[in-house]
Amino acid sequence: MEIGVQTKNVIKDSCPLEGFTMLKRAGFSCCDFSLDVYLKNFNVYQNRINDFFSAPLDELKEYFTPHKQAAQTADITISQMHMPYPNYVPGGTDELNEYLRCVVAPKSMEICAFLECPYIVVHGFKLSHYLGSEEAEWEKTSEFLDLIAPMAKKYGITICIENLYTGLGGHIVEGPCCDASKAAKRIDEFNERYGAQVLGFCFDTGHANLVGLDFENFITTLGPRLKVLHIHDNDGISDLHQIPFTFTRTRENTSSTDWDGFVKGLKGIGYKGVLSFETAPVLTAFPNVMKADVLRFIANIGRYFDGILS
Amino acid sequence: MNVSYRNTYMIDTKKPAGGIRDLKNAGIQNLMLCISAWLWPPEEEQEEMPRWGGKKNVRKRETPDTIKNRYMDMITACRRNGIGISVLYAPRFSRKKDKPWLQDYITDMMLECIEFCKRAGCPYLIVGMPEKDYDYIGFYGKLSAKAREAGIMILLINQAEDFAGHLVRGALCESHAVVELIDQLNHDAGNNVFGFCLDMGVCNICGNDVQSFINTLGNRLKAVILRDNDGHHNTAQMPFTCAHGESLATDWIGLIRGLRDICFQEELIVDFTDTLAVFSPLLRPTLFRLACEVGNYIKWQIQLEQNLKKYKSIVLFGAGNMCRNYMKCYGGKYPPLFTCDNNPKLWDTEFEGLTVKNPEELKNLPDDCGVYICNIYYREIETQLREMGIKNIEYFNDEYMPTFYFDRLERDEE
Repeated sequence: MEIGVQTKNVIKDSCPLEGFTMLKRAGFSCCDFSLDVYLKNFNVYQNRINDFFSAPLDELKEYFTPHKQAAQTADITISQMHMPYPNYVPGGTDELNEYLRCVVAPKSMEICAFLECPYIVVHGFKLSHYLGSEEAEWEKTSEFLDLIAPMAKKYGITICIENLYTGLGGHIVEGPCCDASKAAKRIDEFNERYGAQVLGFCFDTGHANLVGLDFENFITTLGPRLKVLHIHDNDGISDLHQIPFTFTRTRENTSSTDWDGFVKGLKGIGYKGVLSFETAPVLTAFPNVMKADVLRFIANIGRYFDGILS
Repeated sequence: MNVSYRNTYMIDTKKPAGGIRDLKNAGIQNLMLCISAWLWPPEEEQEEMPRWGGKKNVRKRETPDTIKNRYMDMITACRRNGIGISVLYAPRFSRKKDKPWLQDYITDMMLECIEFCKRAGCPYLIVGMPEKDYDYIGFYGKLSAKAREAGIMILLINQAEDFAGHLVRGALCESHAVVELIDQLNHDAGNNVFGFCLDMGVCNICGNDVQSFINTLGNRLKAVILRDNDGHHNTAQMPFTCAHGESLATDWIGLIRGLRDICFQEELIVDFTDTLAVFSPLLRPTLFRLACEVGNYIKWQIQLEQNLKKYKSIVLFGAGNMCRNYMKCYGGKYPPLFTCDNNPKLWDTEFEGLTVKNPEELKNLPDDCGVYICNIYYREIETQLREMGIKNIEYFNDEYMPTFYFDRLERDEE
C-alpha cells in the first residue's frame, strides 16, 4: 500500500522540490496536498480573507505548476487534498459566505483537477445548533456539495466528507458526519443521483478518538465508501494531530487509541487506498533539524500498518 | 412525565426516616433505586481471591434474598410516605471473567430483580450490559418471559468502556444498533418488554449527538438519566454544574430538543451522586431542593410547547430577542394576539408581525387567554402583572429553542 503525509510544514512554495524530495527520501510515495494553508480557518472565522483565491484560475494554475512538476520529479503522487475550511461561517457576512461558496470551493476543485488529484476532503457545515438538527445541517452541506459535485463528475474527482467534532464546554463532541450509517446512505444517494463516484468518505482517526467512536465498526459500516484517511493520534481530549501510538493514559502504558480496531476495520473492508498521515503539527513540535527523521518515523508507522494489512 | 432521583446518598436503607423527611420537604416524590451487590464467587473458588493483611477475605455471597432484605424496609417506609420507586437499577457485573457459575448467577440475580421490581410497584428495571459484542439476544432473552409475566419493562442502557484509560463508546452507544436490538428482543418476546434508558453522563463522555440518538430511538426511549460531568470522567454531578469557559459541558440543548422531537412523556431520573457525596450531610437537604428544581426545570423545558397549548389564545410580554425567537419557532403554530412592553416608545409599533401594546391592554383579555412573559426579568414582570390583577401568567424561555437566529437584535432592551 502507498503511504502519504500532509504537505503542510514540508513543502515550501519557494522551492517545492526540496520538500517533495524530503518526503520521497523519508519513504512516502504520496502526499495530501494542504490547500487549506492558503486560506487559514482561523482567519476565515475572523472574517479576514486574503486574496489568494481571488486570482484568476490561470494564475493559480501557474502558481501551482512548480508544485506539480516537483511532485512528478520527486515521484510523489498527490493522492488527496484538503479544501480550505470552513465553507460557511454562521453569522458571517453574506459577502464572506458567497466568496467561500462561489470562489474558494470551485477554484479548489479546479486546482485539484490541475494537480491530477483524485480526492478532495471537505468539511461539512457546523450548523445544527442554529438549524435545530443534524438533518437540517446536512441539508445545507448537501446544497454546498451539489454546487461542486458537477465539477467532481467532470474531472473524475471524489469529494470526501470527513468525521468532524465540535467543542462543548471544554470537551469535544460529535460534529458533522460522525454517524457512519447516515454517511453511507447519503454517499450512496449522491453517487446514484450523479451516476458517478462524486462523494466518498475520509475517516479521521484523531477525530474519531476524540468522541470515542468504535473504529472497526465505523470503518466496516462505511465499507467501500471509505476513500481516504487522516491518520493521527491524540490524548482523547484535544485534537493534537500527533504520531500514532504516542498516547498512553495508564501505568500499563498501552496506547489509548484503538489502532488495532483501525487496522481490523481496514482489513475487513479490503481498503486499498493510501495510508495518509495528517500529522503536520508534529513537524513544528520537533526541532527543524529532525524533520527528515520524524518524517521517516511516520512513514515507518505507515509501513507497519501496511505490513499488517498486507 | 415523571421525575425521579437516584437514591444513593439521599436515603439510608437501614434508617430511612430522616432521608424520607428531607425528600418530602424538598418535594421529591419518586426514586430510582440502585441495587448494589458484591459479586462473590462460591466458596470453592474463594482461594483465588486476593487477601488483605494476610487474612482470607471471606464475604458471604450475595443472594436474591439478601438483596430483598436489604431494601424492602426502605421501600415500605417510602411507600407509607408517598414516595414511589419508579425505576430499579439492577446490579452491574462484568461478564468478561470466564467462570462457569457466573452466567447463571447473573441471570438468576436479574430474574430476582424482576420479582423485586414487581413487589416494589416499580414499572422499569434497568439491566446494563457492560461489554460490547456480547450475546445480547441470548442474555436478555432469558429475562423476557418473567418480565412479561410481572408486567415489568426491562430497559437497556448505553455504557462507556475503558480503553487503556480512555473512556470510549462501550455497549449500546450506537443508536441504530440499539434500535435493531430492542426491536429484535421485543419481536422475540412477542410483546413490548424491552425499552431503553439513555444515560446522559455516558453520552457526554462519548460525545454523542444526543438529539440524533433520541430521534433514532423514538418511543423505545423510556427513561433518561440526567447527570453532568466534564466529558472526560464518568462522574454523576448535578445537571448544569459542569461548566468551562462560561459554557455548559453537557449537550442539554440536544437532550431537550430530542425529547421534544419525540414528545417524550416517560421517566426523567436525576443522578447527582458525586455532588451529594462530597457535600456535608448537613447541606444535603438543601441540595435535594435544588435537585428537585433542576429536575422540574428540565421537565418544563421539554414540555415548553405543550404549555403553549394550555390556553385558547395567548399574548406575549416583551418585544425583544425572546419575542423574536418565539415568533421564529412558535409564532406560526401558536400565533399571539399581540405583544406588550413597558417601553412606551414601542407602543403601537410592529415587531415580528405583532402589534406592541401598552401592558394596560392585558386587563381586557378573555379568561382563557395566557400571558407569556418573554423577557428575562420574569419575576419583576410577574409581580407587575399580579399587581394589575392579570391571571394566567406563564413564562416563556428561549435558552433551548428548536432553532436559533445567527444574530441577536442590537436594539434589545431586555
